Amino acid sequence: MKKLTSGADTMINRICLLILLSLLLLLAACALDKSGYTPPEQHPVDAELPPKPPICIDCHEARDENFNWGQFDHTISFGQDHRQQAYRQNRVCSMCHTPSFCSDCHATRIELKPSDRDPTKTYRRMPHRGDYLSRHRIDGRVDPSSCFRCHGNSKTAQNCARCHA
Amino acid sequence: MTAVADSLSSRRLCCVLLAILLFLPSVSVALTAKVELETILRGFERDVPVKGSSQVLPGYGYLKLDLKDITSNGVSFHGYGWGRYDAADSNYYDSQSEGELLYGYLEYKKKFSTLRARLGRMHIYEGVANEALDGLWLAGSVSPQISLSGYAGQPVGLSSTDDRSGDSLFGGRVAYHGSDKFDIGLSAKFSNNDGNTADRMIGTDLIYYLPKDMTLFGFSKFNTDESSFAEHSWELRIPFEEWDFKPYIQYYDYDGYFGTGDKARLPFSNLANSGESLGILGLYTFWRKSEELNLGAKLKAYSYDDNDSSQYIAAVVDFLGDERTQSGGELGYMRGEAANNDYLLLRLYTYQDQIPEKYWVAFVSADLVYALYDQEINNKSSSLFLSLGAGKHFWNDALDLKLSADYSVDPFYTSDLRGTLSATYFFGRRN
Repeated sequence: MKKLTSGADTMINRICLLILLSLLLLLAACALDKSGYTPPEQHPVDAELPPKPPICIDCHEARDENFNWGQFDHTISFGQDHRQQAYRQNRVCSMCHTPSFCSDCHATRIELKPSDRDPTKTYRRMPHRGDYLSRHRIDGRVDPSSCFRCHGNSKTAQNCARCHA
Repeated sequence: MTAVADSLSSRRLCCVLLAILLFLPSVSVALTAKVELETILRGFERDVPVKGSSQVLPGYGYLKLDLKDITSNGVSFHGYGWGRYDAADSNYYDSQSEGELLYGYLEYKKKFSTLRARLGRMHIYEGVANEALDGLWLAGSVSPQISLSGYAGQPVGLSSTDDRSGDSLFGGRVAYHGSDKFDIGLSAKFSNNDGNTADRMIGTDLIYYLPKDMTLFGFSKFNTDESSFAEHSWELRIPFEEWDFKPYIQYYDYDGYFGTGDKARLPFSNLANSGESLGILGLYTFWRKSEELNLGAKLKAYSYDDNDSSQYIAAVVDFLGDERTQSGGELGYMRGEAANNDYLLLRLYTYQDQIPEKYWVAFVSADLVYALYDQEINNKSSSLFLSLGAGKHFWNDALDLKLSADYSVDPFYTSDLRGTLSATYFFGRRN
């Protein structure tokens, strides 16, 4: 990958800082606005969701003027592949899940891996189920980016540091 | 910074939040509280330095707290944290007791408006950010088309290195909502650790609506410190009757992706200057044959600039019953050009909660994970993991009791038996 010069690099950083300052000023204007769509805080109770993984398009259009509901269908792979939806529209997630639901797996420091925290929830496809200590040697070689996504800072890498530091 | 100093900063944050709570004007009489306390007792045996084989008996406590309508104008509080104490004082852990505040923040939602604000410890999932923050987050819309968010404070993930002075994290995202055609977002995240550059990322994300309910979505991330793209991750969703196809492509430049300056830690910091890159071509296929039966397949092909390529192929199945009753499995095979990357993976599981009342338990669960390695790891060529569990609800579902036993024979443990007993109490449900 071709590197930019340090002057261009500094310029990019300054532009980013300016963009961020502008964002904060614009946010002040948001307080006066009443026009954007606000999804309900909770999924309506009268449209009771089944305990089994919901398929949103069973009730919603695949997409309407506010959201693309289809991308939130909890298909077999959703448990292992929902980051794009969360990064972009986590307000939809929060209609059914409290923040603690996310933090059970995605947090700065959780000593117990999710499948050890509650081994009885076998229906949740936890990625590190069973003897992951052996398998992670191969998965880590094949795709270290998937490890880094959750263990990429000094606090979340504490589990790695026992052997790798 | 030590764990002690780290917990002190968590305590300071709690004190500040409590003080704000106490002095909030017009405390609402309509306050609703949701409190959940979970206690987990575990037991297993490990070889520890000096002592040799020792019993490890950790007890965990998890507390969730949600206070809504603290004031009449939309202020709420949300908190979640855990603590652990090893009753056997086994030396297995770095310290006998440990704990962490995962989040604890005051939230303000302006009525009839998109404006939201959070103050305290929270997790930010937004654009290029996946970070825990001690600070302030604001979000809202300036028009039906344009929404904004921004945050500033200190990164929680970097609090364990030296002290927190010189640590900072700030960023934001602006999104344009193009009616029913597309949504595009631009985001940035900057963090410093002890005054040194830790992370400088900018990115763009897009969702583009195509005919026949097809959707293209993804994001690209650029590391301004390394002046190179860190990641491209794009996928296409193609629904077709009861089928769902999701081809995707991902690209990681190791210098840009792992090159996070003062934030980088082993083992990842070694990858940051490797000059390596990884490309992934994949496909998820899902067939909803009926409401009770789902079938799927996963294909992944990994290719590198320098290393040998690998592929993963798997078939998955789910049988769904009433309530949470579910059974299923996955059979997968990882194939690497280097033989030590080969393994076969089998997982079978069940969870049954439609059990007649004459039996004492409300649900039972079972799990089996078997892995067969092409080349031996620690002189063993396979892993076997078995788990059995059961649970019951008491007092109008105010108390959940769960018991499970896990057994593993694998390259690291010749025979590992672990027991877990958990009790979760939901305050306010009993009446």
